[in-house]
Amino acid sequence: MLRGIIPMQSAYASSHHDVVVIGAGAAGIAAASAAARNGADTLLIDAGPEAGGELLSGIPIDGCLNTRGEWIVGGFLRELLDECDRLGGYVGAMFDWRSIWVVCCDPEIMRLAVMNRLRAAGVKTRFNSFVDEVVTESGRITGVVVMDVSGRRLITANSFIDCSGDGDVAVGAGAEFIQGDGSGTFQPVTMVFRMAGVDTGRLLDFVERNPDNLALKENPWITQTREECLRGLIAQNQPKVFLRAQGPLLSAAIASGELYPTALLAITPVSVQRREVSLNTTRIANVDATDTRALSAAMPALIDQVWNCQAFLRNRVPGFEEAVFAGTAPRIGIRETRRIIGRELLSSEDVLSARKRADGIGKGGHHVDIHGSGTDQLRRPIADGGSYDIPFGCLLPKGIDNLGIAGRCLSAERPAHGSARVMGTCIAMGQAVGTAAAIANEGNRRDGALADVPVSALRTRLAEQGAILDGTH
Amino acid sequence: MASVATDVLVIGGGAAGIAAAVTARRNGAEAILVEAGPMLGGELLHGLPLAGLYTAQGGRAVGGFADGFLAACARYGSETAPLRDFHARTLVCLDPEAIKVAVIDLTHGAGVKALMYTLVDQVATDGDGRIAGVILRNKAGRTLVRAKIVIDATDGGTVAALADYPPLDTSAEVDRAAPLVFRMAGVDAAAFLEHLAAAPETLAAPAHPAIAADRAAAASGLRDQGRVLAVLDPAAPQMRAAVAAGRMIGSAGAAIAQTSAARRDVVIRVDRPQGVDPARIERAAGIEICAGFLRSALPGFSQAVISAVHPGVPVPFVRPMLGDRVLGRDAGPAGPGVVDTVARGCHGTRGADLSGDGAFDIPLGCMLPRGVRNLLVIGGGLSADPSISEDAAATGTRLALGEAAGTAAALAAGPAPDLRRIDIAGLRRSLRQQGALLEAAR
Repeated sequence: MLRGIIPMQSAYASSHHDVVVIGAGAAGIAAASAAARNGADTLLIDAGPEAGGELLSGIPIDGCLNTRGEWIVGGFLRELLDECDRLGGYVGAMFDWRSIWVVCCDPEIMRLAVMNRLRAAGVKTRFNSFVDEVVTESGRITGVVVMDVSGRRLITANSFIDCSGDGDVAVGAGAEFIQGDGSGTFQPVTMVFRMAGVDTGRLLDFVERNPDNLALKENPWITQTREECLRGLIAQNQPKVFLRAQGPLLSAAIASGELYPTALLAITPVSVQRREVSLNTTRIANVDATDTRALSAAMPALIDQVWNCQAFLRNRVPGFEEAVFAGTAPRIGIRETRRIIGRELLSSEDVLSARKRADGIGKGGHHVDIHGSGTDQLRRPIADGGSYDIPFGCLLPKGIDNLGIAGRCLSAERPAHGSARVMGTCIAMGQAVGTAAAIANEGNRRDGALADVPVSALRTRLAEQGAILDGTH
Repeated sequence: MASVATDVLVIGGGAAGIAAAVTARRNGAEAILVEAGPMLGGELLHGLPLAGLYTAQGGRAVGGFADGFLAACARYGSETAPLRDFHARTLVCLDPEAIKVAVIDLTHGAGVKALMYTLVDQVATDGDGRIAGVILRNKAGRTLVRAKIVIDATDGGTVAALADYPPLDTSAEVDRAAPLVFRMAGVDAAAFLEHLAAAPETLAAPAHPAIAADRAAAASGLRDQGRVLAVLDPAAPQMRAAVAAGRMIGSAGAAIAQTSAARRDVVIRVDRPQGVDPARIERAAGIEICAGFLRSALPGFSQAVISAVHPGVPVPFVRPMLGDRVLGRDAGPAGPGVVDTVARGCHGTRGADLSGDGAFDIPLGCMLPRGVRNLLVIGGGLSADPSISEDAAATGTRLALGEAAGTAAALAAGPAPDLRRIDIAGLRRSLRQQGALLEAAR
């Protein structure tokens, strides 16, 4: 006898919305907020207990500014950062003097800021809800069946937005996709962790005296000498330090087995008051994160690396002598799984040449950044320190008219994805596709077909609401 | 659908489930541990101190697996000494960030196969009083797990409910309104404790004279203990004035406990927050008000900043099933000469029953739902009367329940498994050998 959450005979509970967003990470909160503020009855669903995704991990928000230091993402991102600032959790935008600008926030304050922004926009939320099935009818998604501890529920909507990171809804509706490099290679998964009580002065003093350990001046747009970059980094007076695997400190530690092989030890401030930094360094490559068993099995090794690295920092890195372990991210961080095939494909050339487009709905400015296994990492700069436009068609899966996607599952070649996968860009995509969904539900046309929204109308609305579409390099 | 077989399948990766899976494995059984979320640890991860390991008077009520758990937390930097709240409990204030690492160490070290991000979809029964299989659902699809013994360590008694085993009549269900839970760092413990000693009316009155004579004695005890731990009185003049002025939300009280001395980090639990639903995103505004109140009103908190926010709803969703025995209703031995105590719990605030040693016996029968031979229920589905279910749900008690269930499961995981046919004396012997405490201290 088989007994399930819902006996076969009984009906599912159901609800209907204008727009349903699946996945409450950086892209999903932006999408849901944009849809709701533009008047759509919007439900945001996440399989986990809360909203925020990788924004809660402690890694900085990449892709908000281009290498020149021009802000290339506004709108929802700006509102979110302002809310973090009001709550005392905005550390600031800073340059790594290697290649990119990053935006640093306190991930715990970010939790509050995300909740406040969703609430202000009037987004309805449903957490701990796993999308079990996608219901389709003649090229449209009509509903999703979600399950939680109390049962199954059919949620119908005019428009759907897939911000699951893995393109789960799009794939469930039959969209085509590519995984990783197509032959089992994936960028590594990571467990970000944090250390409190770090002495920034001692850390900067150490790197100033031992600059060979630093990754500096990788981007040809940076015209300063390496020495000038070092002075710039020190003058910034932040624990924003990128220790490179080829430097004497890490290479010796990796060679002796004191530290696991890694390409990076990226230190980023998360809290001024707690003198706390996040560490982006642990890694296990080629885990297919859509394979739950494989992802779960990665945890012990990642936690081993976390503990290994915190000891290494305290023993070997000046500034960390008195620092204490302050915790891990709430979950394993995932860089790469599926890319959905959309009406357009963001190409490597688009990204590297900083291509501008009339149908651009948001901008990316993070260098092409493909982490490999061990100490391997490919980084390629965007031309002239600039940014590229993401065409609307990259967010529209082929053949499913009322579905939009945003986040790391966008339609892109792998190197282009290596740039567009970062959170700042995900937020820009999210705002765009959420706004498009709201427009697709306006007036008499309530068919929810995002694909039919004229890109000019979308761009006008986005610009009115603070999105940055033009006027940057 | 893929299918796998195992000796023991544990559903729910919180305190009870971790203890059960690790203990089953240590007793020679294969164990798969399934967790719905992205991390193992459940409520252990959010900073609230562990109740149930020690009685209100400070006597040890739980040993065994819990000893190893505390030792692992200590290895990763947590303090583990028992602390008295001088209100109703003796607590262990652990660092939840150390726990995150410790639980991976313990489960992986024991060879438990952990599966995160995974829900229970369906339960299949075989017509012979056994669960034949459990269908799991996650991103990778569905998997049928055929297990000799299933342990339901979920908050909601999910497996028992899916299999339609009868629920306990809980017309007298206790109100389990969720609290607000968050952490703050940069707290000056000495300044805070001095303030309590100078203004003991801030504190909730001791629940029993044996705990402390009065508030002043409690405040002085807390100060001598030297760690941030306090239960605040919602009716204290300062609190009432702040609520009246809109600088604090109304509540049924607040408790503050250290999580990390090194980070000067504490956890704050605000009970029954008025006008704030902790289950909704609106809770962010409530937390902001509470943190602001603490900063402005409590010495020691003036430089404190929010350091963590509970991600979800902290109170377990409880759905007790009807077991062979009902904890809190059926006292005494199961039958003539049958001693079936396999764990012990501690009376907390509600009971304040300090007539005995402050602890109560938990029989194996309250983990065994009627009508099934191979299922143990040790989370929110435990067969316990509402009068005692909150004490039985204390995290420390769940470690003891998990150890008992994991050991019983390993003993029963043979052919034709039947938990009612295991040698209870042998089970109790094994538990004692593992260090579990089954009798009142003499």
